[in-house]
Amino acid sequence: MDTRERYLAIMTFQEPDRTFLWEFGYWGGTVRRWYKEGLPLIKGLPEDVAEGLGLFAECAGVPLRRYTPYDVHDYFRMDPYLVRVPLNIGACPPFEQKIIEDHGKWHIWQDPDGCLRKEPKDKSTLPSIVGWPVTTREDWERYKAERLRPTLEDRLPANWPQLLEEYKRRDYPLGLGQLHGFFGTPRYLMGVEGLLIKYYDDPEMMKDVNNYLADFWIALFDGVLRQVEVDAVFIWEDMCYKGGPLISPDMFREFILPGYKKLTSFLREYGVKIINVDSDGNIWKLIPLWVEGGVTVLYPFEVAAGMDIVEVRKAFPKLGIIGGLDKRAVAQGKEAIDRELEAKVPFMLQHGGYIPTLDHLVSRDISFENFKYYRQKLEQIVRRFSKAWDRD
Amino acid sequence: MSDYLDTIARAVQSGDEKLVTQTVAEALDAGLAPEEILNKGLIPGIQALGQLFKDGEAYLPEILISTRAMRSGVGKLSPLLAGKAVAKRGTVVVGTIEGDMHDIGKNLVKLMLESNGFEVHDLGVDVPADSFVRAARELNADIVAISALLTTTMVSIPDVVKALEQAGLRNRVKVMIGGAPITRQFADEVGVEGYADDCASAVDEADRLIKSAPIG
Repeated sequence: MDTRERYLAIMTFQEPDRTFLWEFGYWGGTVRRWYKEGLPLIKGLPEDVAEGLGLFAECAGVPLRRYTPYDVHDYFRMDPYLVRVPLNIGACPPFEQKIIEDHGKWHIWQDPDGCLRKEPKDKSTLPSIVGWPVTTREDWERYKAERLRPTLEDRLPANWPQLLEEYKRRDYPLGLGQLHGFFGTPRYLMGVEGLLIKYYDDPEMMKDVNNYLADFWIALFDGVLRQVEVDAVFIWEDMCYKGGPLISPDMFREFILPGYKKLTSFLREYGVKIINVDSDGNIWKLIPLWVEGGVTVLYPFEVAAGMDIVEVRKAFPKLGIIGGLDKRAVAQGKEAIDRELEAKVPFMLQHGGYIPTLDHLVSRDISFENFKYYRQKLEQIVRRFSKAWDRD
Repeated sequence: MSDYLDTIARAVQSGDEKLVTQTVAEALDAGLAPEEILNKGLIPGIQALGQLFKDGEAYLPEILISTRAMRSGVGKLSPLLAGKAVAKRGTVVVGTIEGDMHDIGKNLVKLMLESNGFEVHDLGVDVPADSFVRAARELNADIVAISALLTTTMVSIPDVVKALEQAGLRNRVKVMIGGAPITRQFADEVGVEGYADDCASAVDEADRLIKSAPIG
């Protein structure tokens, strides 16, 4: 099987020859640590990759960020990357990137989506967002009219015709969607607290936001799908924390589910069978709603937030699952790694629809030695449950 | 009289800011003491909402609208309470640990503590250990509450504990922590007394710490 055939077979519960040897991603600081601990430095990371920058790997797809940790990919002989169509679905034209306030060690700058980010200048940690482009209905009306026009103009790269030709000959899975979602996008429009309270203060506006976003994405995706067949669509939400969802299931049903149903119904008409949603935290209460909304794959199933992929598989036998392996076990060492992998991976592979990866980006407390052991052990288990082995 | 208090409590619980403001004004006009409105109307309302949150029947939007309604009611009472000895439940210094810029969890904890009668001083995000110490000393704090979102920043929490020890404050200032990667086990490992899973539990934990015996 080539990579594309394997992806489609795994994610639609057909008969793959084996599952993928993939990861979700790494923090910049993790890769830098590993260079010091023996990871061969061949392609390296640019200087401006911060310790706290997420570097996405094979299952998240490329290009998702400007930098990809190719040295890790090559060293561990990971399977080829999923590729994402480089469609800009953010603010277009983008907001001017500029420094708003300078406070010595840190500054506040405006990002391309119009958010104000407070960030240490050495980028030693993740920025926090302290300002958003939408507060009022008037802001929203202006934002969608000026920045979210439903046209592909200026949203695809100049080499799009060449990419189209390449896609038609591809042997890898092609995904559509970047970091956008029915909760994920509005949080960048109005901030988490602003968004949460807006559901009460102006429910009609929130319904308009989600309905508009559904129509907007449908229009953009339609423009792409007319030109090329894609294998999967990706939606990003991150709408849960370790205590559960940020909003109630009832609120999800009222405000968010209609958008999912509209979007996935459209995608099914184009034959797109695989709809992925990325949400950290404890997602148990929302899984049935996502499934009802047409979502077929969820990831990354954070163990520290209470997610157990074995239990999820038992409850949702036909839900595609990616991730779910406790990164904290890899930080602890060999015995913990053995326990974690043996408890989950064989069961999951027997039941299908599963791609094993850690439960989020690989954190900086994981040594290169431990990560190597985890990958070797994981590969052994995957091999045990494979119909064919093409990696010797 | 208790009709006013019941209405205020229910309005806080349901996050009805307008009804809270209106009923607090009516209760004052009817001659209720501001202390009674606070302690028997507003605070029971936010406590009921906190219980619903802990039971999984309320979520963060409800916390936000209820604490907003609570603030509105307290705002009406504040001028009348000024100079009166209103029992506060304790003084808490809150902040996000050094190197961490995240503030949503910390803000929610602050809102819930304030709404439940604690005096809260917010040091913001990316707070160095010595700033926690300085604030704890100057404000005579009972509790230092530290938030961390990242596994890479939670490791700085012991620095705050050590700095409080070095400043000679550790025997009278208790420390509680919370955030995505934080667990009770981690709290035990780093030698802090308090841990909360969420903003509603933080109120119970702060209350428990205030009532517990001094350290050492």
